[in-house]
Amino acid sequence: MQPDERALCADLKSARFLSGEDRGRWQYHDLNWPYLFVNVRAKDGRNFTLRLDCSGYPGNPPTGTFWDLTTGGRLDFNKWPTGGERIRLALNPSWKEGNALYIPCDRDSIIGHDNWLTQYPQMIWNAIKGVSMYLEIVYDLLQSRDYVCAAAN
Amino acid sequence: MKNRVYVQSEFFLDLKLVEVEDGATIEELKQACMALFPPQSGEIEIHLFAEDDDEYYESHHKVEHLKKPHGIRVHLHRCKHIAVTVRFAGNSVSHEFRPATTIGRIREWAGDRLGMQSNDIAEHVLQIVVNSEQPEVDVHIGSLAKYPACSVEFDLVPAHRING
Repeated sequence: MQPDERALCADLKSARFLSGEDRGRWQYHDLNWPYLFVNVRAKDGRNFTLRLDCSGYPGNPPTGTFWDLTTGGRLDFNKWPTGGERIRLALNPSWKEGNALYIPCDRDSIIGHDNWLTQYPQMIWNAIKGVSMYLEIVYDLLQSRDYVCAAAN
Repeated sequence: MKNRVYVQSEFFLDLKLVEVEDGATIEELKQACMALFPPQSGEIEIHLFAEDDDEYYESHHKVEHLKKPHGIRVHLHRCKHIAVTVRFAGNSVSHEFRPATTIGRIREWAGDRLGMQSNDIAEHVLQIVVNSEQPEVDVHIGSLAKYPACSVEFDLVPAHRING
């Protein structure tokens, strides 16, 4: 096992990661290196699976997209979380063709956004907080007022 | 059966874990938590609090009394209360909280006292006045105040929208 995979495995047993699971915010699904699959809970109870590419972890931040576990491919854009401005900006399928989330702690999205370092310092990747930081930011978006809940059946 | 216990304290910044047996007492849990403290913390009088819980637990009480649906979460601090002030739009509100009170709960309390709707409260965050840091909602207020300074001041500010 390479150091990046070993570091991620250690973080999956960390207090931060286990705490998020115990609070019902996310749930580990699988690790198929370098991809980590975690289900993140939205405010209407839906789970969205994130696939995080964790190569170079934790020195390099992960980059993530929503994943469909049944097809084994990226989640269809019409199934991505939707809602108000906060959701549309951050969880934007047209950004990087849906291969990265538009959040400051994403490895691919921080490139070219030096202004984010001062604008959103608390969302810049912090290797000490690790993968839980990425999950916490996505969870927070999925719990926000701007998230549109699924229509009742 | 082993119980997983999440621990926060004025003595460390990050969340930590200890494991104790079902029948363990509060005193035994306290000793297990204090083993996480830096060596220089020495002989001190410290209090154990359960997260967002106003109950007072005696040393002989069992750890199982602390169980909540989201696990057992405690805080160890030398202060019994933390004086909190929250400023927003020219107004301010103050209250003394137990050190194990989460930032999320304090935000709810402050927003409510300041006349905000619950949906609006969730779109704001607490920002520490002295350093502009925005602690996460699960952080215990005690982690932000080191004895003998048992107080913290916040501004309630809008949550960031990522753009640009």
